[in-house]
Amino acid sequence: MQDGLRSAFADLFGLDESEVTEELTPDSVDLWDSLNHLRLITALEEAFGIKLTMAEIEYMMGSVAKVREVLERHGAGQ
Amino acid sequence: MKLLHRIRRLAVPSFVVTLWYLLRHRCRISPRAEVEINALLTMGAGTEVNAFSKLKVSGGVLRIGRNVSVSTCCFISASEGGVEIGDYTMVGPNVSIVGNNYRYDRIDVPTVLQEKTSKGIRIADNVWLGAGAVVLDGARIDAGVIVAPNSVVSGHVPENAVVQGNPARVIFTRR
Repeated sequence: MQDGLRSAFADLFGLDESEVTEELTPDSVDLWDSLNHLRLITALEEAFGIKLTMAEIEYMMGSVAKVREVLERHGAGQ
Repeated sequence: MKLLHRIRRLAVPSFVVTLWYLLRHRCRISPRAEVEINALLTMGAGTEVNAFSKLKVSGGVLRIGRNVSVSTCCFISASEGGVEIGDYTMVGPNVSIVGNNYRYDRIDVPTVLQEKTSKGIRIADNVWLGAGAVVLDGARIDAGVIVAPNSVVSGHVPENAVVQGNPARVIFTRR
């Protein structure tokens, strides 16, 4: 997993980087609500220099794996 | 004039206020809300004000647009600078919109006796003020903005921003 993604998750959701796995979902992370999701999106856009669409942003609120999938589609972190 | 104003505020039964705004402005004002009948207070059709909210002109213009929803327990006070709220704006429960401030530069005079100031507040169309948000005098909130619950806004918020915190900062721009 991209380091930028792992550290953004850890920072925003108060987790240790080692706890950030691809299986994490908004249901399993207390602080992963709609507002913090937007903060995550802003952090990722700044970290990777990309611009995401609303459809992608909505899709990314599924799991860490989905966030990674969209980032990879943008060629981010590679 | 002041006496008339007081009589209107205190002696007019709330159901009369509700009926007045319903018939004249096609607004739904809860009989449990505290809204005065005053030429300085205007509301567009379809606007609703829910129970226990208080709307006060305090000598300024309070202009509320069409289809605005003011939830329960809100406090909106205009003062000289005035307060404008655009169409389709949603005001969540316990929101305070305070259109005045006090000078506090003299420590030998109680703050309440120092000069009252009022720059006014402008809230554009389609804004969503989350529960418990506070909008202070001088704030200018552009169209499409979302203010997260319990945030405090005192400056300019650009169009379509999502803001959070005290002071409220942009965390995202809607697209």
